[in-house]
Amino acid sequence: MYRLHPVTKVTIILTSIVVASICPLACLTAFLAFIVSLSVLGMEFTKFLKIMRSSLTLVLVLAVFSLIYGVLSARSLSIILEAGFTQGVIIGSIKLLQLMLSFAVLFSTTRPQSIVRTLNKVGVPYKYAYILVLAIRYMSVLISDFQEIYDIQAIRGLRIDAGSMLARIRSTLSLFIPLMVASTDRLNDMSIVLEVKCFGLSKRRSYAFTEKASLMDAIVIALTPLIVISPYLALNLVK
Amino acid sequence: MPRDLCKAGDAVVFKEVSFSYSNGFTLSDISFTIRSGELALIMGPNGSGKTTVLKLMAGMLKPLSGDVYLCGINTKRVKLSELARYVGYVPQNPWMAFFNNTVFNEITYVAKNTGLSKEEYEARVLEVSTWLNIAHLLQRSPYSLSEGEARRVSIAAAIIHDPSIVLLDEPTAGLDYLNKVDYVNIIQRVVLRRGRTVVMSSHDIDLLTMFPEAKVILLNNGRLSFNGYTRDLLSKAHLLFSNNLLLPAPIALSAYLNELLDIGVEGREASVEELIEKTVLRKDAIGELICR
Repeated sequence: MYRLHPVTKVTIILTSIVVASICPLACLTAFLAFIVSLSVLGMEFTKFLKIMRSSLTLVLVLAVFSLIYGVLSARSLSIILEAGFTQGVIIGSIKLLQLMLSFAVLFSTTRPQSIVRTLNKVGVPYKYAYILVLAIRYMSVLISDFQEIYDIQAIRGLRIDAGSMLARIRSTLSLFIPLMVASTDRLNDMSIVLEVKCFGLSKRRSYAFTEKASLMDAIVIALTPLIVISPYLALNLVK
Repeated sequence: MPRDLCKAGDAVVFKEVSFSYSNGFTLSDISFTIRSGELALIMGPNGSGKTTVLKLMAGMLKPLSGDVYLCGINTKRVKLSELARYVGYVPQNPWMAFFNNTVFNEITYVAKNTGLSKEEYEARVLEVSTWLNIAHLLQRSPYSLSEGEARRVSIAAAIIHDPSIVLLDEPTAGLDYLNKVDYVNIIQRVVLRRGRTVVMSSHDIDLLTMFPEAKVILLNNGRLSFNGYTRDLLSKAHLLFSNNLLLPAPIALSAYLNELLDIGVEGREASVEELIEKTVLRKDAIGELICR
């Protein structure tokens, strides 16, 4: 997966979006199996397990919430036994899992600069492509700042888990206000740095390094639509 | 537990502590003791693990192996917010902690969390703000303060509840020399009062001359290089050099003058008084030194 061209991975994502939007369960399952196989073969198993674990956790939580919401709306537990409702939740979960896996695989096996280069080459203006990557990179900085602020406030006696609901909400202000101030300062500094480095000065931008497509890319791109229509092909063969 | 728990005995004990981050940086087998009422400097070059040791001390990080004791309390066994009673923490960036609408509320935040009554903390605010010369800032927004004012407010917020141990992370970072001297005066006059134990992490070598009686814990690449006192360290200049640190400027000048002016007393290096006396007599040598 690391050596695949970013365009190939973007193709997988776009196919994933189409499959999740309009394809039936058979195609969905086939494509999910394809993405899982590619991931297992193409990256470290421990990394894949981490991605799978976090994706499955989120999907399961959302599925449980959907079931609870359905029960509360219908005001009856028997709705869970209705095939249509449960099937809907299961299909929705598979769609979500498939989308999450394809995006996770893209971002964990592709360098941010490669994503920017690829998006720029397919016509996305460099500024917008770079903003997307900055936003992704900024997540880890935000998390690290949040952890630092949480530790500082905790050593000042902050307890998020104590007191009434109002007190707990108020105590979260002690985390989010410094986080917002620190983020704003950091973004301000970053904008000045980009400005002095002539960011966005010219529409034409050169690159010191560009990725090259290989035979593997051609194989994966060719396989992608085939996997989607494979259930229909299999059905026709059986008939 | 009483606030003056640390009045006697060991304030901080690190027993074979190891810790590592996911990026591979590792702190290995660190052991030292800081007595109650001592001032300790955790020093070392960038990336040596100073802030990590300070955070382990504060309980923000838990050791992977070994134990950290603060006033006899194992930090692995208590929540961070419970340690707040005994520990005051002054972060390197004071803005990371500010969130209240006024300086008064910012300073009293810890006092309120640790259960001080309104009368107690109002009296303490008056006392602390007078010591730190910030009484005129109490009704201002913390975000309108200058860097120096913010650092004073940060100290006030850390000592308002009269903790036994005060931890300062890179307290003199970014300060010019005069402000550094001013900050050191504050630490000596205000923070070290009442037998508090003070621990500072810094790579600022000048602090060694400003705190000549301090305990020094020297780190390099996650390992303990030296565990002793300032005077012992300054007599072993090779330890500083081998840890990518230079001699403090006054000591380096003294050593250079000794060598250049050949004014050492036989068998030992000249004292500061002898240096001053003899360099005044040898003004031509000073001129030569300046021209070099």
